[in-house]
Parts: sequence; structure tokens; C-alpha cells
Amino acid sequence: MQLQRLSVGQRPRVGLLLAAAGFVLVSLGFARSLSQEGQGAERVSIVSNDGTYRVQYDLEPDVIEFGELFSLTLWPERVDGEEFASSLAVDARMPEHAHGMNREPKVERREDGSLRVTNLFFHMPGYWEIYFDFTRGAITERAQFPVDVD
Amino acid sequence: MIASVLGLLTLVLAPLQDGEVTQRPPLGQHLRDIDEVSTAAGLVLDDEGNVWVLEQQLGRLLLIDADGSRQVLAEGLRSPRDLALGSEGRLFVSEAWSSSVSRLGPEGELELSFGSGLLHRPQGLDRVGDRVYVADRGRHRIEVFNQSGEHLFGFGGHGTEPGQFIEPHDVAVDSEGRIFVSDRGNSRLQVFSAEGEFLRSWGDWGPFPGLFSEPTGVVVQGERIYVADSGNHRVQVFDPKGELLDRFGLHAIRPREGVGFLHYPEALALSPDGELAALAEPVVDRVQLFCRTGGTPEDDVRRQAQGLARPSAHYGMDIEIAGPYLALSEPESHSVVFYVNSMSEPIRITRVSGLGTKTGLLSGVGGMDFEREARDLWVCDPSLRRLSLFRLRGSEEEEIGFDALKARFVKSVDLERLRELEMGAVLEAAPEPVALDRDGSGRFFIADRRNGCVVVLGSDLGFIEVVGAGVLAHPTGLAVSEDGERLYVADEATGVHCFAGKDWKHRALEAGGSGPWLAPYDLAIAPDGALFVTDSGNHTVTAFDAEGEWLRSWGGAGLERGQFYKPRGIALDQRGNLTVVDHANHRGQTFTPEGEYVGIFGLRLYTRLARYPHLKDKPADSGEGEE
Repeated sequence: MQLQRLSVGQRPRVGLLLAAAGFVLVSLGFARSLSQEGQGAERVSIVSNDGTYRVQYDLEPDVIEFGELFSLTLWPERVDGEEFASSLAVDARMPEHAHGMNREPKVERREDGSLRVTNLFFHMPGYWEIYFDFTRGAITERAQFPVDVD
Repeated sequence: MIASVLGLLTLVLAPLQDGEVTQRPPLGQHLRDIDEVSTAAGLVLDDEGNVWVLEQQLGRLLLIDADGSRQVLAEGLRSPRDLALGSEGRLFVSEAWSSSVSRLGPEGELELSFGSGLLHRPQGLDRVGDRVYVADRGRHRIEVFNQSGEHLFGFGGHGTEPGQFIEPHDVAVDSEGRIFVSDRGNSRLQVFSAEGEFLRSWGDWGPFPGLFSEPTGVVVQGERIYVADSGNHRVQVFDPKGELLDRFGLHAIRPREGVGFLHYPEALALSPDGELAALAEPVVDRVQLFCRTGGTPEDDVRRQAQGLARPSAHYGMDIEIAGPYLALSEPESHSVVFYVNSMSEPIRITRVSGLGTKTGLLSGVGGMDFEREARDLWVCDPSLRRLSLFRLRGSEEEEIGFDALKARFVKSVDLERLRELEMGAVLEAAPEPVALDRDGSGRFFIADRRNGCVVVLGSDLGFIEVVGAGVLAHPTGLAVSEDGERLYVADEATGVHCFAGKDWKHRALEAGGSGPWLAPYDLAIAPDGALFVTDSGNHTVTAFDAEGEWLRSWGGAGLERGQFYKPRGIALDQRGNLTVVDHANHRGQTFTPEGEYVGIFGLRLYTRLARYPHLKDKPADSGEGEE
């Protein structure tokens, strides 16, 4: 079973492997590309839905098997260059089925400033969305990307 | 009068034995309907089938005898919600608008009032021994008093953790002192020790047996816990550990259908001998009585269908229209449904959000504001005390067919956190937003039912000011003019208000020709400044000119063209016509600003009489009038 990343307006399709894609820039309506210089070749960059945050993420493993645990490494920042100073919650959901995962993701900060997210698990095949919810003060803003697991 | 009948009732309560009722056939056989009980609320039932019932909007306590005769036992109650028998023929009545509990004497006279300052919108009551238990919906707590009104202790608080509540609706206490609470917003039943220590809970949101959708009334009799499961239109019966024992009631489909079919049952009462049950259905102004089944195999087969979901469609209560779009809140599914409104019947194009407490989900669904250009929909969630922003993808030219992924959650504002950061000095508690509008500069005007005011935020979501404190009590709807100079608020406790100018000068608007306001709910402002107000108590729409002078009212209770049953949300469309959510009629109606009927949408059963008035005397299922 494979996990796939999408470009603007596309409905996810099965068959394109992330591993095969290698270096992928994802545009999800508000996404913009980042220079990948000095960074891992497999990092993907997305911008949050109201344009405040940019997050680069790296999946492990690159090809996610249905029913297998996977993890994410995140490098979040503010688009305006201000100090990040926000909390982050990670979740995933099947919006067409109105349910989420049957596990709670765990987020821990690493010494290099990145965030490691573990305990991610897709227990059903189909269309999923992974959410990064950034909270600063009273405002929580979401960045997201879709995946299709079959 | 109260003394003699309630004295008898108190005596009959005494001999009830644990386990007695379990030996008999189950409750659930429809006995009779009692119609025209305005917004029927808390009730008490005796063994003969006499019913004491509160009329919430009319502020009355009625005694309805088994033969149907009625007496008004008390008047002037301020949105009474529940009643409980006290000792020596007394009655305790919770009153939402005064946020207190009244103790009525044997002749119906007010003896004392208590809880003021501690309670906010108290709902359910129970009295056992010297203790009076109050489900305080506004502060999300259970408070316990003695019969003299002295506060003994309380527990709870807003939240989803064990021991916390979201809008607890009712409370009941068993013979061991255990306290059972219907936790409406969390769709569960929670059980506490006599001291308020959390013991267990059961249930979750859903239609299947054992689950709940907004549980309301709860009664304990012997070893059976009876729960009115409002959103599932049924009663479920559990043992004290949460094992489902029984259920009855089927969702009403036809207009005002009764005879065992239920529509949002709330208060629940059992007769002392356990042979009768009464259910109040405020949305259809009715009480239904049930007795025990015959206990035959045929009864058991028939009962297998009871308590299961039946398809139906509800609209609203809240509505928003912008350009070709029409958005309707759908509290049953904790979502907002988007329609394209450019055709004769609105076409559904997507559903926004769903039930949950996580970011991007909704627990309660209140008013909305849709900005056409940005395709941004802001939704109030009073249960979670936050505003959530969703954005439609695509463009207006692409709106063909249903797309479950058309709307995406963008961000939310946690009003509890915002109060901590910026509003603590002016607001007593976290705002509970029930309605929202924005002016031309992007300022947010938020009706806050918890603090009884309007909270104004800037376009950057920073706090600016509070409007209407001291005037408003329980706002439900608001509308602000494009220039932000005039703010109108519908308040179901205090009427309709206008705040104008930089200093928000206040003026109350009288209901005019339709009589005093009973339950004003929502408003809409036309570009020329005219104002339109729905009153769910009077079943009317009232129009005012730009100066706030009454112009006309129309409506009245019914199913015919131009009639309403509990109208709620109202909005102006791009043609300048008004669409009204005719909530208890499960339909929407459109009118010109002059009140002339334009069109209708919704279920055929509910729209038939309006579409085909010549079929008035034919049964709804005759087939005539099909399109």
C-alpha cells in the first residue's frame, strides 16, 4: 500500500510512489516552494491555510504501508520571519468518513529545533488528510496535506 | 390547589420499591397526546395521569387533568425549565432568565428564590431528602442546595474530561444518593457519588442503541435510569452500570406527528407507581403519555423497531446567504450544509465539519458569517467557545454537484484563551458565541450568551470592546449595518435592541402589531436599512423601517403558505428577498421584503400545503400535488 502526495486541485490517485518521486514540492492551494539547498532531498514544504506558517516535513518510511506505523519530522517556521513561538498538534482524518486515527500522535521537540511526530497509523485504506495545527495565543491555524492509501 | 394534589403525590412517591418495576412489561405504549402546551418544559406526573407542566415561553405552570381540563397554577415565571416536588406540598422551579431556583408554597406563592449569582441558566432539578440538585447549564456544573436554599456543594465545570460537562441538562438521584447527570453537549450520562465524586459514564454520540444525541431529561426509578435522547427522538433505559435495558419512541416524520412518534423530547417524568411516563416536546408544544405494553410476543416484535433511526431532514436553526450561496446549520450532524441558491430549490454542494472537540470540528453549531469574495465561512461554536473559519475551494463557476472536500478548515479563535489574554477585565467568563456578523471594515460582532453582551473583535481578531452589557441577557441573533454604525440584537429574554453610533446608544424595539416579543431569535438588515426579525414564540416575522419603526408582521402558526412553526434564522438573498428557516416545519420559506410569499423548499410533507393550497383538505399522503 502506498502513500501519495498531490498537487493543486488533484484528487489523489494510487500508484505514484513517494520514493519514486524523490524530491517533491507540493502545492496545496497556498503552497510555495522552498529552496532545498542544505536540506534533506525528501523534505516537502507546505504553507498553512491562512498563509501564516510554512512547514517542511519528511516522512519515514518514504513509502507508507497500510496498517504500519509511520513518523514525520517537521521544520516549522513563520512565513513573515518572526519567531515561531507556537505550539503544534498533529492529527489525521478521513474527512469523507468523519473519523480520525485510532491512535494519538506523539510530538517531541529535538535539539536541532525540528519536531518529531510518531505513532502515526492509518488503520483504513482510502483518502486521508494529515493536519498540522499551529497555535499562538488564541489562534490556531492549520496546514495540511492529503494522502491516499489503498 | 397545589397543596392538595401535590400532597397526595408526595405520599404516593414513598412506597416505591427498588426492582419493583423490572417485573412488569416495559413502558412504551402510547397512551395519549396533550397538545398546545407552549414550549412544554419540566413536568411531574401522578398515578392517575394528571400532569403538572411548565410552559417555558409563557412562564406558566399548568395542571392538566387526565380528562384534559387545565388550570394555571402559577404565572410570571421567568423561562421556567424544570420542576421538582419538595416536602410539604412545595415545588421547586428552575428559571433560566433569572438564573435562580424558586420555591413555591402550597398555594403556588413564591416563598423564596435562591442560587442567584451562583447559577446561570439552570435547567434540570431533582429533590431527594433535604437536598435540591440543580443542573446548571450555563456554568456547566451541578449545584446542590438544601430546601432552604443554602448552597451545600457543587462539582463539574466546562470540558470533556470525566467529571466535566458541556451544558448538563438534567440531574436525578437514586435511593443510594448516586447522582446521574445527562451531559448534553458530550452526549453521555455521568454518574457521581452522593458527594459528587465521579464514578462512571457511558454513551457517546450516535444513533445506535446505547448511544446518545443530546441527552436531556433523566429519571431514576428503582434500578432503571430513563434518559430522553433528544436528538435521536427516543427514550433509552439503562441499569445503574450503563447496560441498555430498553428503549421506546420513534422519530416523528409528519408535521406535528405524535401518537408515540417523538420530536426532540426533553423533560421526562414517571408516575410514582412506574406505570406511566410523560415526555415534553417543546419544539412541537406537546406532552405525550406512555403506559406499559401488553407484554405479548406481538408487542415485543413491534418494539424491536422502537428507538431506531428514521430518515428525516431538518433545516437550521441558523442561516447565512451570500451571493449564490446558502448555508444552513445542522445541529443534528454538528455541521453546516452549503447550498447553491440560484435555482428554485437549493442544491446541496458540500457539508462543512462534523462532530468533535478537536480543531476543525464542531460540538455546538451557532450562527455563521459568509464572505463571498474570500469564500470564508465563520461558524460559532458556543459549546467549545470558539469561532472556526472554513474556506470553500474552487469558484462559483464550478459549483456543480456535491463535493465532500470542497470546504477546508483554515483557523479558529479560542474565546476562552482570548478572554484570558485580552478580555479578562471586562468579561466574567469565557464568551459562548451564538451569533456572528461582520461590518464592512471586517470587525466581528459576536453575540455572547454566557456574559449577556456582544463582543467586538477587530479584523485581526483582537479584542476591541463589549456592547450591550447590562441590557442584554440571553442574546440569540444579531445583525450589524455595513457601516458598523447600527447593531441590532435579538435577545430571547429581553426583546430586540438597537445600539447606534460611536457610543452605542441603546433603544429597545417594540414588537408592534404582533404583540409583545415572546422569543425573538434572529435578524436581517436590508441595504436600505430595513430590519426583519423572527420570533419563534409568536411564529412571526416582523419588519421595521430604517428608523426602527414597526412596518408589518406576518406569519402565525401553521403549515400553510406564509405560516411558520418556530421560525429561527433569517437572511436576505441577492435578489433582496428574505429566506426564513421555518424550523419546526423542517422547511425554508422565501418572501419579498413586503412579506409576500415567493417560494418554499424542504420535505414534501411539510411544503405541500404551501405549494398546493387547493389541497388543504386532502391527506398529505394522497399523492396529489406531486411534482
